[in-house]
Amino acid sequence: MEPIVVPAPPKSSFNKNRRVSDLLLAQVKHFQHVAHKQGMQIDPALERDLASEAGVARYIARVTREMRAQATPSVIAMPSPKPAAAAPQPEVVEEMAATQAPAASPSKPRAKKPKKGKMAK
Amino acid sequence: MSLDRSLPGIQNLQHVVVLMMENRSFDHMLGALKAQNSQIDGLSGTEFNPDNTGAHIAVQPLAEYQSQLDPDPNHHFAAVNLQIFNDPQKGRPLPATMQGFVKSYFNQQQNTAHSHDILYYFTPDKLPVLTTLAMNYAVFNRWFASIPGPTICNRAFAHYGTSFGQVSMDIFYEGKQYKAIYDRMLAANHTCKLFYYDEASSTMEVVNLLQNEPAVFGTFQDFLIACEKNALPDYCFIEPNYTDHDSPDTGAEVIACDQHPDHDVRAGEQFIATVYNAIRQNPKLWPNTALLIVYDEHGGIFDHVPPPSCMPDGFVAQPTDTGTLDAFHFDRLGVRVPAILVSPWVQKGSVINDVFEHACIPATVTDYFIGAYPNRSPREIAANTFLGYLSLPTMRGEDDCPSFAIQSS
Repeated sequence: MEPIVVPAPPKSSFNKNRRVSDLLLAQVKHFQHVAHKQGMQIDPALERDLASEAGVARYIARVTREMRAQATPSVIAMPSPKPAAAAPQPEVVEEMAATQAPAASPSKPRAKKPKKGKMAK
Repeated sequence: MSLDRSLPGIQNLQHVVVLMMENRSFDHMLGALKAQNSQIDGLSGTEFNPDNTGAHIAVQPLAEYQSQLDPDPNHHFAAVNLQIFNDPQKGRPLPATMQGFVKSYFNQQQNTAHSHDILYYFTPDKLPVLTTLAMNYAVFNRWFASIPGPTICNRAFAHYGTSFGQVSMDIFYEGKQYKAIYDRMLAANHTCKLFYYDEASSTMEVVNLLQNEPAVFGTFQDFLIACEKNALPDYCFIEPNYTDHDSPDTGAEVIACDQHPDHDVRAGEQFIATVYNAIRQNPKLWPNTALLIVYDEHGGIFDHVPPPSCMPDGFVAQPTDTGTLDAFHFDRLGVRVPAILVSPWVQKGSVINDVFEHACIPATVTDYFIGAYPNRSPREIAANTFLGYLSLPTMRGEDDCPSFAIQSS
């Protein structure tokens, strides 16, 4: 079967100065709530420039980076679910790494025999 | 339905991937397919809405990729009430006539001609990806938004099985009693990731998950790498790019691909194709992965199917929250949205008529990977699950499953 061609939008479709939708305004509000709650120091210039999609994107990128930087081992370590077994040590979940070894393919449905101690990397 | 775990497709299943797009109704995107497959509950062309003059305006296959649905059609609770019941203030026991879409859009600009655009739908040739996937895999005739309201509370149902009583996009669900599907998966020693497009687009799930569990997140690039390296988590949820912006890393232009009006629909088609290709073109992933492509809500755009009643989820939104005269008991669903289930174990051209909504996503993932899990919303406990449609006795061959060539701009 020949691949089906999927055309690209023209360059003119891109408009980073497009005014923001209600959805993006709500997303910003949620980010502002968390940034304020966590006492983040955000450049006031970013907070003033929220009328366009580009401005919203810059602000959201800044706060997202700050929140992702807070991913520490103590936040994400998992407790062992079966203390009676020789459970592996909780693994630290790190940023998705390109070098992650592939998980072994189970021969039975996951719901019956969940893998132990394997965290998304 | 109870999952038959002896099915070969289920015996092979290792990954469930959900891609949730934005703000397009079933009829708007897939309605034209009724002409190609009469089992698809799409459009015959006789469906109509009255406009502000009283004229009956018929649906038309005139949807364009961009610039028609500007301003963004109103899809907040009261507007959707008007769309469904032809009354902005009261809902049931009024009949759900689906006759208020044109009036609702007229309210935004007082422009009679422009208000008719809300009835436009796409011809199949304009949506090669969605059309191909719908005709080659399984399309849901009855996948509805979880509530008749906007994005963030609808997406909450996909993560938590409830929106904790919210029908708006206000800040909520901090410290709530039902865990997100990601928390459940991790507690049960399963892997999961919520992939947003990039840091500048980020996630709509910020108040709880991104704030408290940032390691659950990755970028779309991470998803592609995981597919390439056979390191896909057990469960993945993918969010599209919500804005036109310059990449925070490279400065290159990054076009919004969520298909939320007024973003170009073609960018979303390419995004869907990219997700599909990443799985389809990996022979170690393709047999072992189920991909659900679904939209969060209808975006204020016409659909002809009245939403049904549903199991309440135990919360109530007061009239001050709904913006209508009625409280909302989360006992009826939102407007229908496109939803397609992709797998080489799905019968080509399947049409699914059972009722689904976004709580079915955590219900399905919990049922498959975790099993019994009582601490969920009543809505989710009652929800249908969708993996049983991976029902073929043998996997479809290479030549029977399409792939896409994504043109560069």
